[in-house]
Amino acid sequence: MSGAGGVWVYAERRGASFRPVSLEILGRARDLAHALGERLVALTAGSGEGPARELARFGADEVVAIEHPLLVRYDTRVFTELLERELRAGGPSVLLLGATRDGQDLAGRLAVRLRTGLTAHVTSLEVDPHHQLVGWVPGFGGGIEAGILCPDRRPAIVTVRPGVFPLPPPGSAGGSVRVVRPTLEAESFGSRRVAFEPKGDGVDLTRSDVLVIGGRGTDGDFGLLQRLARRLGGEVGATRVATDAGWIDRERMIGQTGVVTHPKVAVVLGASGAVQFTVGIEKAGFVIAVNRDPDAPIFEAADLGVVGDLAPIVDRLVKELGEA
Amino acid sequence: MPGSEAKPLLWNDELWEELARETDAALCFQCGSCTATCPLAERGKLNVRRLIRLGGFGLGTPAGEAELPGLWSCTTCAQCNVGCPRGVDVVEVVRHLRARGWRRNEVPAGLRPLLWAEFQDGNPYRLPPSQRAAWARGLSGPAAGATDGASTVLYVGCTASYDPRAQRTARAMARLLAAAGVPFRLLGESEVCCGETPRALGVEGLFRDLSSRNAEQLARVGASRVVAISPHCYDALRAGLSKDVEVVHYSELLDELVSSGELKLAGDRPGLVTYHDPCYLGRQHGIYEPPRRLLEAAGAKLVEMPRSRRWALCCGGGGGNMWRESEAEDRLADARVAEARETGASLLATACPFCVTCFLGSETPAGGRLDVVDVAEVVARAAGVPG
Repeated sequence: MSGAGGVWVYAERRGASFRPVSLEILGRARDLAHALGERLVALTAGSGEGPARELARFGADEVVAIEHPLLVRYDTRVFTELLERELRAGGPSVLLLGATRDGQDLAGRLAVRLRTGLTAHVTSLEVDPHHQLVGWVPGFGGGIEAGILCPDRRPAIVTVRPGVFPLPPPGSAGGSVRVVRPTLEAESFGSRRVAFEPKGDGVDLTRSDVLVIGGRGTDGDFGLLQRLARRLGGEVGATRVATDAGWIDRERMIGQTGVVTHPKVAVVLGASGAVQFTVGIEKAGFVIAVNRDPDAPIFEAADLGVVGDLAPIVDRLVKELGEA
Repeated sequence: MPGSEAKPLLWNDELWEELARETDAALCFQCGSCTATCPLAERGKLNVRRLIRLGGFGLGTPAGEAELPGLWSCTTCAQCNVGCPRGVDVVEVVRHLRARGWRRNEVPAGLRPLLWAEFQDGNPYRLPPSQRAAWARGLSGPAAGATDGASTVLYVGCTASYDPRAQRTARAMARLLAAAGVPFRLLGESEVCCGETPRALGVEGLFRDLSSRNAEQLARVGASRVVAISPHCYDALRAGLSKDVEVVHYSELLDELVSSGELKLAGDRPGLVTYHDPCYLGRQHGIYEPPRRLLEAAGAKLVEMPRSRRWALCCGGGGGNMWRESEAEDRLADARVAEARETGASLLATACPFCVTCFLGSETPAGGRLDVVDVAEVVARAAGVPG
């Protein structure tokens, strides 16, 4: 078949964009395709073709976009069918997917359907001198790192652990986009969404640009923090001491055993700053810390530090910001 | 009558033989002294004797908790070893049973990401290796740890490298070594985790891998002596490095330097101080006196908690528990801080960054003020070189 082969990357959608791991893989796959002397194809499925055009800017020679309004949400059965059809038609030599929940779900099914090998959760990928793709997988139990080949069957399917390759910068649109419009009905789906009811009060601190975070030093006055958060258009988070004390819900705990956040601004009030907490705000754009103790370790992690009693400082800040 | 759902138990010779070969579980005659002294057993979380016995049946369930209760909660504090009349190293049995859990994919959630962080970033906090040396910013001269030809390496460890509070302990140590005229080097960004946590979690392979990465770096700078800040690193470096590298805990070295007069302490008068023995320094390696001598040399008046030296209550952070959430009522640190308060001391000193973190995190908001500090920082203040 003409145009057969190629390194294919399944680009997993997240809303109107893609999961970072898919773009990370595309960046690495560009080099692999070059080393193998093959084309790079990005395969995606979702609702709306806008995002698919974005993909062409990440180095793919061709983008195959399966598009249908019903593909707004991942469905094991439907996605497997649609991808299998494209893979059989295109006959790639390699298929790479992110080792996300959906990526792992798809990879296993596709490998069985296509009667080929799957290397799961690789941390690096290379092309060996015999033009074979090698996926490296660490095995914690045995203290070894295994290089896994798929010598006979095609495509060699590989899931890649998120975060192991750098995110490539977008270039100018180069590749072509081919849109595939399947015929689908609601009945084709194995599941349907009846309702969406988030647990607890449904807060997702990882999506908040502004966080107002309280620790032991707040003495439980989270009302004050809420007022500040409202004025800043943000959410309230807490340290473990504060959630242990029952001052606020456990789902708002930030840190190693809580939520790891990446707000643009984190206002940290009355937290001492142990690493178990600071890993949760490590990716914050700007950290403002207020603490009565000038020696509090939190100041080491802050871009701006204010030494003083919380209540008057926050009160003043709320007044300055005016009513929300 | 036992529950009708219970299945007959069959002794698994293969698993038992493996356990007996790799540990000294076969010495155990099931007296239960271990359980009687285990601080988690006291809270109904772990039955050590039963764990050893069930190990031979080869039982296990998802997460390994239902039939090997407490296996992953064990802090490897080794209190059980102290009272064992048969000399069983129970901690080794726990590591072995955990390794079995990994082989069968029966491990609690949350541990896998920790191992990935160790593997990829060389630290359990998932923080970038490029930030590992950030704690040393601002140090200059001999304290910067760049003395060419120095045969001593100050091994900082992950917590003292990345924890904003524990970084002070690292800076105190660097300044103390400089003040005492001990030339030393730092491995900087090429230092990786000592692997103690993976080892305690039963992942020996990753521990060996991390050990050899550190060994390479130590060889590169020609180190013949390594000074560990954390007792956990001290333990793992001793187990993982070749015997021609001498591993010492900082408290031993500072103690020598103070006794020989190379490090002069003016006395900072820290007042009434109680000292907490870290498990991996005290029970595991018998280092009880050097930290106490240092505190006294720094002018402290020492007062002991009822449970001290080999009976010291664990802070709860060992055995991988620094990275797992616990129920507030099970936290050993709360009990230990209460014991420290009862002595009337104003300062709780210890010599392990895990202990410091647990004690600071567990001080209940209602409790009175009790400062928690590492011995190295007390000594640095007395030497006039605070971190």
